[in-house]
Amino acid sequence: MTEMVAREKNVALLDLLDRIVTKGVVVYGDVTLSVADVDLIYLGLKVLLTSVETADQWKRATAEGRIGSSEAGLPVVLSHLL
Amino acid sequence: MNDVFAAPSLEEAALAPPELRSQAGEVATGIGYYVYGVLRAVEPGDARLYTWEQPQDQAVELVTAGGLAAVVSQVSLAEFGDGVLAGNLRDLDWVEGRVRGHHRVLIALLAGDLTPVPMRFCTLFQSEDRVRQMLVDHNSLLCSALERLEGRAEWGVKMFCDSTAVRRRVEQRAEGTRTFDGTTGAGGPGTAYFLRKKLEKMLDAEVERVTDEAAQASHEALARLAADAVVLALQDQEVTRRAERMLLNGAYLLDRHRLLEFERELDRLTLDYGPLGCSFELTGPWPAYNFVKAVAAEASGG
Repeated sequence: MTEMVAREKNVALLDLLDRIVTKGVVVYGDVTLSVADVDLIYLGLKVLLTSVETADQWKRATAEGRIGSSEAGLPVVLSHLL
Repeated sequence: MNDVFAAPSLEEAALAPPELRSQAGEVATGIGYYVYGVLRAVEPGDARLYTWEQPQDQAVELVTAGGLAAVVSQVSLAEFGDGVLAGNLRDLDWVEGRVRGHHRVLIALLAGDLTPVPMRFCTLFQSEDRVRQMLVDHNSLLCSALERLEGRAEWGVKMFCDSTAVRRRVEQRAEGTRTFDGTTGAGGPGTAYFLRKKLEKMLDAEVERVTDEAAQASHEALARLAADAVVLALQDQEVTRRAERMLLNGAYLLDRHRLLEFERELDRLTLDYGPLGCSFELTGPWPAYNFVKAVAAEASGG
């Protein structure tokens, strides 16, 4: 995939996330995303879009379980990756 | 389950991606009902239900109550259940796949001339009864949203500018300053340096003013054609990785019959601001994510 195509794809994904993850009606289903969940998705996306290298770090960190629960995990990720 | 759509067979369910069936040998713990959006209830024979092409890999069904129809898929709680979901949200590939799937269903409905009220990502219920309960509990909110959205869709417009081009343009316009080349003058080299710095600052401010005005005027012109309009947060260059700076990220709720007019307005704006170094990008149609109330009052039942 060329850099150009990858970029277009990621921006389209960003547009999608901007709408589907943060907008739309919330009716409090039996499962509903929390604010921390949304933050987590965004943080991951930002890492992905900013550089391939940090995206790899992110993937390793999630695979090794270094990113724990969203409350505890966010600061860890922030200090390690950003 | 109202099976106005081709009822999903067991075979189809078995075609679901492997991770749906089990995770690391675990047995799936049950079925959840993922709600994509809500429609006004339609007669089972309504032709519009047959004009849209259902995504092959996502069996979609309707659950109806209170004059409304929830568009749902059955999903495995082994993927979406408590505890598992949190882990999946850390997997960007999983998130991307599911976000795109969510979007695909709503876009298919729009293409079929139906108007969905879009739900937020990962809105799940434990049973069809719970979905019906939701349709009843939030009936007035959903009905008023449907009324507002009927026959309309959201369109996105992004405006970008090439800052260097704008700057050149601004320099050309500032004719009085062009005769000053920064090397001559009665004040000597020190004064020339000071004046050059001052001029740079003035040009920066002018570029800022010109682009702000262009973005504001563009948004107003587009909003005039829309039933509703909203300015979204700009996406920073670090994320878009474009050379151009984003000046406007707008969302517009358009009547279907006004799209052509809207596109003509964009052409006109491109003629106006293109020479300045600005360009526009139109995306859509989107389900009207930006034109529904984000949060419904929590149902009394919890």
